[in-house]
Amino acid sequence: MAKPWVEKAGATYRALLDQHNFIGKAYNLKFVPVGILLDEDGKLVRAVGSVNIDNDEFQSELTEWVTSGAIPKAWIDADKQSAPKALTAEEKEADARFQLAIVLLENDKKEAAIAELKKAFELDPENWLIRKQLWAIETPEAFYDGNVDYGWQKAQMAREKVALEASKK
Amino acid sequence: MKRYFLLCGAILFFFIGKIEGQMMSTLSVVVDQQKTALAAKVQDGQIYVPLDDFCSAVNAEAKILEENGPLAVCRDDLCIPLNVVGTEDTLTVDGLLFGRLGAFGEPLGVSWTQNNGSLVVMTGQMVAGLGIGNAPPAFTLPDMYSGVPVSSSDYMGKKTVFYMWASW
Repeated sequence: MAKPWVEKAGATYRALLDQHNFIGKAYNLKFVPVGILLDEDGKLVRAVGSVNIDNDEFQSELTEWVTSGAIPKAWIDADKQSAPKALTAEEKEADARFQLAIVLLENDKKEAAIAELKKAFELDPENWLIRKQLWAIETPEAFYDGNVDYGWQKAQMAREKVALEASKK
Repeated sequence: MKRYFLLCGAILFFFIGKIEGQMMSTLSVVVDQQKTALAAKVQDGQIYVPLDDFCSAVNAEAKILEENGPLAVCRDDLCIPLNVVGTEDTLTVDGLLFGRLGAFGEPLGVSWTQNNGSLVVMTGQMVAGLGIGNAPPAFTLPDMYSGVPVSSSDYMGKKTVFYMWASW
């Protein structure tokens, strides 16, 4: 799925596929985009977290680090000595259902995959990797017809919020 | 005649020994992203690690269970016996005892990948931090075009940016 975007961007870097959300699981991340910046010894120079590669500030920090080798002050100030949290029982089940959904998709069982992703979303509602994957599979026209339709995503979030509140009553 | 036969046998044995020796390749061992002095052997597609030193590197111990019992790899209460009926899990090379990683690694929670002459081992015991100065969890993922597995450790020695994104 990522191929057309990589090609459109004329990417000169290497693109790796993480179909089974290995990094999301190992790092306990629930959103993208995320940057993992490593020095020559494989040590982090910036806390693993949200990164916008198109952001001018980030780009100048990145240039500073690459050219001087010194870690930019902004990264040091924002550093968090966190460790990936162990997954809760709900998160583990959500991941298991996500993995199952990917296998089902590979076997053209779209409806069954959507059902698993819905259960996964209910178990781990904060996980945007699951939530958006579900959206993209259920409503491909909002994702894969030209540009990603962020208006649709906003409306979908509102719909889900209403549904969630209704289920609480 | 009998003597002649024996001699042939000895020559044949010598050659088999030679061929096996040539087929065995050596891997350097990286444990939780730290290089070690250990050298693993690959024979018939199986990875063998120097048993005592490897075990101490992954916080385990190789020992004989009970009196005259089987050789086992143990951590705390968990022991995985080696060379149980019908399996050959050990190998002696130059007097050093090697154990087949596949025989005990997984039950111990140890995971590993093989790339570019290295055996990259994760003990599963390291809680990797995600802040400055930490070595975060290693990963190996396929290249989108070639499918070739690429490891985060392949970029050791270079400044590297991994940018995780999705089209949505």
